[in-house]
Amino acid sequence: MRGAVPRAASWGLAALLVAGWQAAGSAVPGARALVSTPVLVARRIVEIAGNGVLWHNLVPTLEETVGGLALGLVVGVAGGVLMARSRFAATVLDPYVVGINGLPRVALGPFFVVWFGIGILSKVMLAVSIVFVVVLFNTREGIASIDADLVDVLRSMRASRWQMLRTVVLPSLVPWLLASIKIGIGLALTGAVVGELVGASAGLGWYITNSLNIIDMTGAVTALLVMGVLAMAMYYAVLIVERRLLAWRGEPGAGH
Amino acid sequence: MSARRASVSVREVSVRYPGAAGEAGPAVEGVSFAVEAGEFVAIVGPSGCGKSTLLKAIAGLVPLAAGEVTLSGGAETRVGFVFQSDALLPWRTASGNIEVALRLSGERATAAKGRARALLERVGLGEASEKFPGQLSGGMRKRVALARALAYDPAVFLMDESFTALDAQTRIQVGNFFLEILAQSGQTVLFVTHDIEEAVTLADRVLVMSRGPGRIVRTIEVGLARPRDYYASRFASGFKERQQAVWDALGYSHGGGAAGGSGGVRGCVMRGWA
Repeated sequence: MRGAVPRAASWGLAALLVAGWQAAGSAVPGARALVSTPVLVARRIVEIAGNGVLWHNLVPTLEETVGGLALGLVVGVAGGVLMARSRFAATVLDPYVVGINGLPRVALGPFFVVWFGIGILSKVMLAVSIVFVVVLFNTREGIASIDADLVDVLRSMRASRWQMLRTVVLPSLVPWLLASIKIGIGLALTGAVVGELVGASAGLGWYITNSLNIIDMTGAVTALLVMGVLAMAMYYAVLIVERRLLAWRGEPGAGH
Repeated sequence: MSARRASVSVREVSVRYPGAAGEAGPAVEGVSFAVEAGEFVAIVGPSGCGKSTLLKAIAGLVPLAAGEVTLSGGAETRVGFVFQSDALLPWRTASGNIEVALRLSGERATAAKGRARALLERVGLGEASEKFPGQLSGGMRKRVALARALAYDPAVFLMDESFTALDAQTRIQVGNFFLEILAQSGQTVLFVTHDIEEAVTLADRVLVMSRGPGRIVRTIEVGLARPRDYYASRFASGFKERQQAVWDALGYSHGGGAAGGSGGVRGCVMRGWA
């Protein structure tokens, strides 16, 4: 097993942080109202997992995040391919992409809630607006870095456009797409949760707002923690897929 | 299976550098020569003289600014392009890379697997068929690249500095391996190299190209007996004379630097019609 020591150290650090949190929350006067404690949060998780409140709020956030990420990938890849292949499209669209990229997209939250309602759609759209730009940039960069000799070999054997796409272009983009997805998870979650903070009737973001309204710090911290775990779970799921797809690189860490 | 052999005819071909609109001069200008079916022709010349561009133009990979390239088998004539880099798909196994060429040559997917295996065995890499290019040595990768070119069943091999990146010993091994393939199937070869020894070792005829814009300045008939050996043929009688003739055409004379006189690179534009 590779890296057993650093992994143990990572868990050790987590234990230390939780212990410190518990000590601070219970020893420092007034701190419990500000940060709650791990014991209270653990009890809350068991409670809301039992009565269904956890799933009622986790599922919408998960749907918004995955939906936003997936749609953001489709829009980003399509835009990136279009702009990489067509100089005309690149010239026309470049200022808009740069503009959107510079715009703090969380400011779109209130607009999207007005336009798309307080349901799941407004959050998905917000997530898409944040995710797609990163995917688009990565796709363009990925296409620009395709090995010209590979393209020429296929062209010399008269490959069709579709064969070229399937055999050279898409496989070349896989590492770039995986990188986009790994960055995109956090971005999509941000979009989903900001949307929920602005206006929603369920979701982890909504659960935070609702808890703070009734001065329930334990509830708010619990939701935050669940978000963190959700993001980590998605990230590691992508790593597993990546290990399979990029096995040809013979990367370290593949065998354990 | 396509026709084994095809002749190549290049008439008054000019190629411009991509993206250059008038400002920069042409990469290749007014080049004419012909390669007979089954003939091995090498093109030598200094770096940047447009040899590779010319080869790509013949393969149809870059557009012609003027002139005409004709392959005797018609538009359907298959060419096997072998680059200086191995140009293998890194995410496909040795076998997978060859299957791509087989599929493009019209082979069914079910038959391609077995054929790929047979081709790899022919190049002595049967054991490596499920390995990725990154797991193979440079010489092995080059052999896979040659097997892939063979898999497409070309009538003409277009070789662009194909052995240049290999170390000296591997080069001899791969070079001889290529000569064996040709002895068996007799494809036409157009071989671009800046290595004059290699050109004389392999070719029936050597075309010497000049720099900026690229033109053919001289044709040297090699005329050494076949079968050749990528190593031993360098010691055959008459080899040195041919080699010297190529150097002379490039503008170097005995015991001195570039002569630059008539007959040199800057000299007359000779056309290598066979």
